[in-house]
Amino acid sequence: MPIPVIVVDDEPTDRYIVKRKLSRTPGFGEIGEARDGEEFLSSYCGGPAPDTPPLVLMDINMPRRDGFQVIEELERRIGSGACHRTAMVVMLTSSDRPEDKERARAFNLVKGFFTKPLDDADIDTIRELMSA
Amino acid sequence: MREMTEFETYCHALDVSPVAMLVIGRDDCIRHSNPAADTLFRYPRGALGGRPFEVLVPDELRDLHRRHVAAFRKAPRARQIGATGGLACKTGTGEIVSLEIGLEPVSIDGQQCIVLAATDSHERVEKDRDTRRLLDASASAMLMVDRTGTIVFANKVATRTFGYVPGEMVGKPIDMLVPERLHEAHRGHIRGYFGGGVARPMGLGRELHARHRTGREFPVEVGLTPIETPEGTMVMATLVDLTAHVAAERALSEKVSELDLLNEQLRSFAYSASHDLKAPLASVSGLMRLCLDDMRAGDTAEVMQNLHLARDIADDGVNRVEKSLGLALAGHQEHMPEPVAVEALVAEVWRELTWSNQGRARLVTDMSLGGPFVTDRPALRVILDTLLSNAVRFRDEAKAEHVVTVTASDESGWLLVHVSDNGVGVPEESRHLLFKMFGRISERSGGGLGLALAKKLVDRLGGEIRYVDSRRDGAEFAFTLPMAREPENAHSSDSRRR
Repeated sequence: MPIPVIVVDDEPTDRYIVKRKLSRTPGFGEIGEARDGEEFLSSYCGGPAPDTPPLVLMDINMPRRDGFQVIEELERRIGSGACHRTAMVVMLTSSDRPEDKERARAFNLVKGFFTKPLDDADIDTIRELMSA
Repeated sequence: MREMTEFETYCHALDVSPVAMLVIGRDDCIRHSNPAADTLFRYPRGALGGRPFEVLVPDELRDLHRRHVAAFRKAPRARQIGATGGLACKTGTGEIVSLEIGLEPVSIDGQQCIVLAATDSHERVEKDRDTRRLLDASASAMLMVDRTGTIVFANKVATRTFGYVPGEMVGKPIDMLVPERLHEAHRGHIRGYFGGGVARPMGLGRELHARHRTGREFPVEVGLTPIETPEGTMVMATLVDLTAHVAAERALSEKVSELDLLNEQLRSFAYSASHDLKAPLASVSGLMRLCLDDMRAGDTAEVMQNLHLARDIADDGVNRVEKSLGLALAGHQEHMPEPVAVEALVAEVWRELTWSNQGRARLVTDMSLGGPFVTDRPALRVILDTLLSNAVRFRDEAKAEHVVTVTASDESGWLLVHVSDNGVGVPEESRHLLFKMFGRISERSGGGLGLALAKKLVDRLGGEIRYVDSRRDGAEFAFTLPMAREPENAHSSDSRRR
């Protein structure tokens, strides 16, 4: 069953690059996008539950809430029952700061950390993570 | 050969003493003087023998001498007189010499005599003066205090350190050098120390403060040493004024915090730079990979468009690197104040910002400046350019007209400028990012460097910049700059023109 994807990134070019890249890779289904954390939280928590938990590619450096704050809020909403869905999140960022990697590791929802641009090896790793 | 009498034996013994000594008989006549006494009293060898002792007493001390003699006869026992001064003799050459003498009753050949030992107290005074000179040469302040807490000696540095004139401190209580709140405790410490103190630093790790004549308190380090003197036990206090030391320490610790802050800024600059300068490169790389994949697949529909996009992002990256460098250097560049016509500068910046999209925004100005304002023109230009370009960019599409308002006034020598617009404003939760490097508040933000640079420039010129929180509609920024002093040469060329 193809895995739905949501790309959360304020940079339109980067959303476009990921969408194009994944669209020609087998195994991934519908690719949605959100321009920032707010848009992602409201559409994701508010929309109908999909059959398969989606893969969320989350940028870190975004206006208003950064990627970590968005995940924090998502975990809070799932924990309080305000969001009835779960997801598998991987960070996709141009940062390779050790602090950011450390922070990412602390979240239950976050399964991976990748630096832009996403290449074929990264996609293989994501597939392995999804099937694990 | 006849045997020596007791008297002769005595005289032989006295003659080898380096101390001036006389033997005086019951009739108050000198029976013998040793060579040291002849030298002290300036008489030829043996000339004093047989003379009445009173030849050595200055006229004005005759009565006192007689009283002393009577007192001694009444209670003939060994005693010292003249240690505190006041005793003097008249020499064979008529000079008056101050003396200290010791008296001892002896019986020689069955006759009661007095042996008198005399020392020139002038020598002691000289010695005291030498000691004093040594103490005055010390770089530390030195004070001698007796057990009643009275200052008995203060060297030059002590006098100067506490702001007194030479001689003024002697005889005064040590309390006057101690902050008032500590008087009681300090008196207790003095009593304790005289009860068996050993040489040690005072305060034992506490920070000590002394009081200057003016009442000003200053930090000191004090060492204490007990000293035995003919006048009893005294305490010598050696004191170092730590004012300069403490100030230097404070300056050093301020420098350290400043360096820590700079280090932190550098760290965050390096991280931000590595992240935010890498971001466009990652986008370019991503686009290039897409193009390669597309070309390999023979699908060239989007290749051209993606190459253009990559080129634009790369250009923007170049711009960003340059701006980052400008930001890193701002605050270090030389600044040259010159008279600036602020209204004209605002108009110039506005023209450049809006020439390509005329009619999209309207500028309203309200300038109440008496004349040109002296400041760093290039810096002010960058600040205005940043604020005006932001004001133009954050237009609210729902409004019929986008209006940018600039007001400037002279607030007693300070330039106060407000730049506001009726655009979308800055959400409260993003305001903390406004002046941060790479702090972007929305997709419409530029590289996140403009306001950081503007703030750095305003800081450098000694002014302040802030977001005006109270505004309900749109965004408003305000900054102040102090009027700079024109450099000397600018003044002179100006006056020549007039």
